[in-house]
Amino acid sequence: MPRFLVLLCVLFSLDAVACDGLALDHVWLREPPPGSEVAAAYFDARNDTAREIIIQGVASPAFKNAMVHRTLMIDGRAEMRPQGNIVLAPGAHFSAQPGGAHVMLFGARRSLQDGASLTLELRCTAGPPLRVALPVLRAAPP
Amino acid sequence: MIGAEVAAHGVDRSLVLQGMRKAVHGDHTRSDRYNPAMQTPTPKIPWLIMSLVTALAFAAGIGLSAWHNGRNAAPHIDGLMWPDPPAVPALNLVRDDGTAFHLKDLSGKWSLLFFGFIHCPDVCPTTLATLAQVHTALQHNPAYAGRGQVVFVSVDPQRDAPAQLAAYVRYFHKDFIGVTANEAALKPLTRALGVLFMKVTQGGQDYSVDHSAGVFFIDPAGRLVSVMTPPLTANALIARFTAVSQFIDAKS
Repeated sequence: MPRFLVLLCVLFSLDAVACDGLALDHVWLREPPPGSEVAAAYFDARNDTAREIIIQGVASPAFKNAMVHRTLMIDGRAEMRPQGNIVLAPGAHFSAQPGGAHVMLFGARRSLQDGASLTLELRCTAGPPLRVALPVLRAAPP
Repeated sequence: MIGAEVAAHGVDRSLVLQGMRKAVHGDHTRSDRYNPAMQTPTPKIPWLIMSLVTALAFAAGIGLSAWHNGRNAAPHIDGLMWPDPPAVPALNLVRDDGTAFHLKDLSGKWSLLFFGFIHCPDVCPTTLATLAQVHTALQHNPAYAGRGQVVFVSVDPQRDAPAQLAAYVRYFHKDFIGVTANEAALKPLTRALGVLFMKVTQGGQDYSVDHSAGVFFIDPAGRLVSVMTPPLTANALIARFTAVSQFIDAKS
């Protein structure tokens, strides 16, 4: 019986879920100012399912490298640190917006001028990545 | 898990410059940067003595504050550093056109200072875009029009050359000024204003710079009269400038 329980727990913890049911909104990349080799992208994610969804990573074909960072404000000092997994309970919401969490992208493979349209990929515990359009904007969308 | 990943990633921090008076390496406790005399109590002191000391300090504080108010009759303005605002020391910085930037370039003007670096993806462009709105809106404010400037101070002199700074700051507003200097020349300014920055490497050869992300208000006499820390909005910055500049102009 205990062995059965352990197995059950293991099965539950490995209950990998795909990005299906993840609703994305306000996805945009800030046009990098001249000279800057890093870019920041922002998005709102909402879990519209009855299961927990874990975003484990991000990517964009337009960049060599991408990761979610968080700007921490400590005594008025900005520090950028990796965000780690984004765990979304059913109905939960995660907002990456200026001054907070953001996707940091480097190694651009193409022009990042205002008006360009790129792709952002979110990787969840299982399944194919979720792909969304990532418009390049000079200023935050309303 | 969200937001709790800081310690887990083995961030290698190398302290570049320390403008603040308090040691900061991994110290995430709150510190009152403008009150270096404040001491952290040791845990061994009995609570009764601590309470008495606290009560006395509180009473003394009220007394002092009443005395100050009587002496200066300062109205309550959020974030006003008065009396005794820190003075900007002699400066030997480089402007984005390669010419010198000295203390006299601040005198007679209102300056909004922001510290950052070009390869800063989030906070710097966000704040500079906000400051562009502020600078434009304040052209209608008589205290600012004609003598207000936004100065971006690069704390990454190794990568941010003056010519690059020029293109960077002008992207946000044609009037913006970029300045930089080597670490030794930056230090008097950062120390006087309580600005802190340090280089942070995370694995690769690229690095980020942790930096004070506030906007520093320097009055026409070259004094730091207010600091506004994030989150920053254009409206809040405009309101802060209006209140602080009215107070300072009435004094002088």
